[in-house]
Amino acid sequence: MAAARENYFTEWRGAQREYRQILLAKAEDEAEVRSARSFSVEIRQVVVPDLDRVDRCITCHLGLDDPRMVDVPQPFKVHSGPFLEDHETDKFGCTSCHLGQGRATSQREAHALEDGTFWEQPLLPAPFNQSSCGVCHDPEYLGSRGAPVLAAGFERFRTQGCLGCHKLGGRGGPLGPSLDGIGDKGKHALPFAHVSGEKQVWNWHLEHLMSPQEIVPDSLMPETELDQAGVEGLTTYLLSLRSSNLTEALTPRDRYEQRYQVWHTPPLSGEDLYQQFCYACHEEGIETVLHDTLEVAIPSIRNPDFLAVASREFLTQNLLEGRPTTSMPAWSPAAGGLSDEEIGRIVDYLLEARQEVREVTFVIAEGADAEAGDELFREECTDCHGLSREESEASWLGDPGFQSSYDDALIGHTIKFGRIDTLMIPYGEEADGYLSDEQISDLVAFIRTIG
Amino acid sequence: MPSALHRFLDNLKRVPKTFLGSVRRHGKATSDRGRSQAVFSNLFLHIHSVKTHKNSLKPGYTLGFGLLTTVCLVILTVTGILLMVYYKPTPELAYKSIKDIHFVVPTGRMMRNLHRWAAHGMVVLVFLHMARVFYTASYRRPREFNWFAGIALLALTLALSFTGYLLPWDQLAYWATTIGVNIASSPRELTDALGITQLFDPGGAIRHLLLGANTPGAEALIRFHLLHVMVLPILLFALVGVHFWRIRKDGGLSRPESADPPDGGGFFPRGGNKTYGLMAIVRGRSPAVGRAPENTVNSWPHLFIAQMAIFMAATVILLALSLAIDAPLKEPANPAIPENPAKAPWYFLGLQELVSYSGFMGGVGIPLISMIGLALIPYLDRERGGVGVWFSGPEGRRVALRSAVFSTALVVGLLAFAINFGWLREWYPDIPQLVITFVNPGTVIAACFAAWSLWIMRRTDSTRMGAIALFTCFLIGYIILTYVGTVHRGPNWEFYWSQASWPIH
Repeated sequence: MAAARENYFTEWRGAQREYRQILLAKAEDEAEVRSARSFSVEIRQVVVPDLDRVDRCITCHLGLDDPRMVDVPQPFKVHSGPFLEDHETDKFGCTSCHLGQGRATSQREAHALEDGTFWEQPLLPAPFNQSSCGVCHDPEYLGSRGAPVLAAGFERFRTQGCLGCHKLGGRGGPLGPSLDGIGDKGKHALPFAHVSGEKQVWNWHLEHLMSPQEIVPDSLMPETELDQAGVEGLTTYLLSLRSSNLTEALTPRDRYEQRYQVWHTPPLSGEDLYQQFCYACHEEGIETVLHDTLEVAIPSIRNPDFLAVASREFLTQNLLEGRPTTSMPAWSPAAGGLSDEEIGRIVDYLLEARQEVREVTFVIAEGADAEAGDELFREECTDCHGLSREESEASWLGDPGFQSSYDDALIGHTIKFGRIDTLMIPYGEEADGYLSDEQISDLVAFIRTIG
Repeated sequence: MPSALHRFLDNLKRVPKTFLGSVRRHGKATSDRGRSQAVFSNLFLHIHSVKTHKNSLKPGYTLGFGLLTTVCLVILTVTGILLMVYYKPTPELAYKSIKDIHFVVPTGRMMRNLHRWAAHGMVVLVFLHMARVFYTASYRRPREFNWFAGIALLALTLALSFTGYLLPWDQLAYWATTIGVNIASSPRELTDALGITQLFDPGGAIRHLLLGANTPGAEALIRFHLLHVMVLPILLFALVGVHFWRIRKDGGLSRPESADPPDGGGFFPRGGNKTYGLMAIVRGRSPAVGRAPENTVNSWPHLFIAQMAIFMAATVILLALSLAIDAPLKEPANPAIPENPAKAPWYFLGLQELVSYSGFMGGVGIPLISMIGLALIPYLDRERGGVGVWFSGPEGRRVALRSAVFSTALVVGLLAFAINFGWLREWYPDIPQLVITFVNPGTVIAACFAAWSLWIMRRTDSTRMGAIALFTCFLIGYIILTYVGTVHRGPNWEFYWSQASWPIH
């Protein structure tokens, strides 16, 4: 019975017999009729030892490279696009790009999409199969060469500021998990408890990007406000970040060029760097960002009032050291992975938004009283700047980074004149406030004791 | 006298006849005598005695369990050898070779399924066979040694099943083996609690012996493969040979005294100790036609027909199972992603349940005690009566039933308590591990079983009844614990009423 089952009733034999009929129907001359008649029903496979692939897909997908097979049902259709011209099946196999279980001989097991097929890399549906292009090729190169969704996703990744919280290749922020090899994560490495749609990896990414907190309940990742095309692109790009056993022989030319590009061609501009690493939290940087998941107010670093009194050294120091008690990472080469040169370029970009330079003229009064400052602080400041890190919705003034980069005069100046377009209103009598310079000096003295 | 050439050509013409004649040296087996001689002189058939006692052929006596186990063994050997043609024992290739066997090798899927289901079948049947032999008191003199050989065979069967479980190198295999090896290294629990692990570390030694490394990997796979296809089968077959040999030398299968007429039917000498040490078939007429001294019948055809029937029935069932249900194969082994729950093969799940209370007691202590206890049964119960009768009579039936009820109540009750309320560490968080090792649901159950059996022994004034009580308790306990481990344990070994209520990952 097993023999009968294997030799007569298998799915693929049925498919091949059907294909033979199709070949006969399409035959236009003697030669084609003869070759259709001699079409043998047997397992067909592609073995690519270098890529560790044994793909039996062509056992059913028989019309793969036959241009006549356009108006036939699947699985007999010819392969779409010109991809097979540069990616011959016997050189690459099928699963290198499409994933799925190459060794299987039935559709259910080969596509491995259903429960109970126990295969970590099921067939990638379009457009996510474009992620495979990104494993070998430079995504930017592919925008008009068959992988537009991937290219769009790559573009979005660089402008959405993802690297502000996630590391990739050692560069980025520490708040979220590193994205190295994220395309390798199978179903069992991701939390599916709250996923409402299909329990597949691409759907996990889609839903997570749409609404991170629904999928990972205590996530710090804010809502991305992307549309469907946006999340599809990003998902495709993320899925391309997976390991490959690319040999030298198979490395495409654009990959070589990309490799050397890193060493030779013009590096990213300050604005590009800001988009990649800062934008996610600071956004345009003109106003305070009230972050919904981090639950803090993020300072406006391109704010004219801020920049008017911020020196280059001040900005550079803040970037290098970050704010240790907050989500602002240190971006030095050893920590966030940016070079000193890149940091310099970001500072340049920030300073471009500067509208005027003002001198800091505030002078701390003699005999500034920290205790009086304490009382004042509790009355005026603790609504936003708490005494402890947990109580602070605005910047915590006890943070070591803040304490070391701001000098007393700058603190006093900021309290007196405030910062336009933020919640830090001017408190000085001479501005629109009501505190005298002496009182402000007391406050500064007290602030120095916090933390 | 014709010339040598003539003689040569004549002989050449007659080769088919003379050749067949040399194989069937006693001629065709068309008469009772011919058949008896065939059985006697053929190496393979002579595993059986020429005559078999009628009692041994009664289906309700042995239920065919021993034979069924052998059938499974034969199927396992044949399919195992076939699988070896394609299976490759390295982590890189093992999983893929099994996928290829399943998808591409002609009849591969069938052979693999057969192998898997025959393996499960053999473990079940081996336990059933042991139970049958025990309950018919067939371990009594002169069969004590054969019982002991049987216990050794039980251990070998479990070892074979365990080593085979790792070979597919999928998530199921990898993590079940991790659990199994961790259980084997549980003596560490005791040596750690005593603080002597530096000096004396049998747990670590076993672990390194099994794994050849610190974690399951290429070394472990090839060791398990070597054990599974060569070392353990050799030991198993040798012991099976001993096991069958002993059946013959001990006078065939056990039977009750009532199975033989008390006075030999008037034709034959009474009683006596028939030794089976010497055997001969003599010519001449037997004084009673159609009647043999010991109520026996010719093995050929009666025993052989019965054996063939059982063989075919078992094969058909296994084939049907193999056609219908595929042997499982999960994702490729991934040391970074543990299965949760990671479960040992089903016959070890009772043990794993015990291990969840105490690694040492559940993994080493109680199994060792059980094995030693089982092996010693024939030496501790040396009464004479009740052989060949299920439960040795109505009293035994009562004892068995009561023990079953008692053990069910005890095990279910104690487990329910432990699951609902926890154990000592819930109320005494700083209690030393050594106390838990010796006072946990497993040890408490075992101690209660022992106490019950001793009580029965006193009340019935019989070691046999005590043995029945203890064996029944352990059998029921094993079944219930295996059931709980299989059905009611989910992620983190928490209790769940069913798999449907497991939390989604």
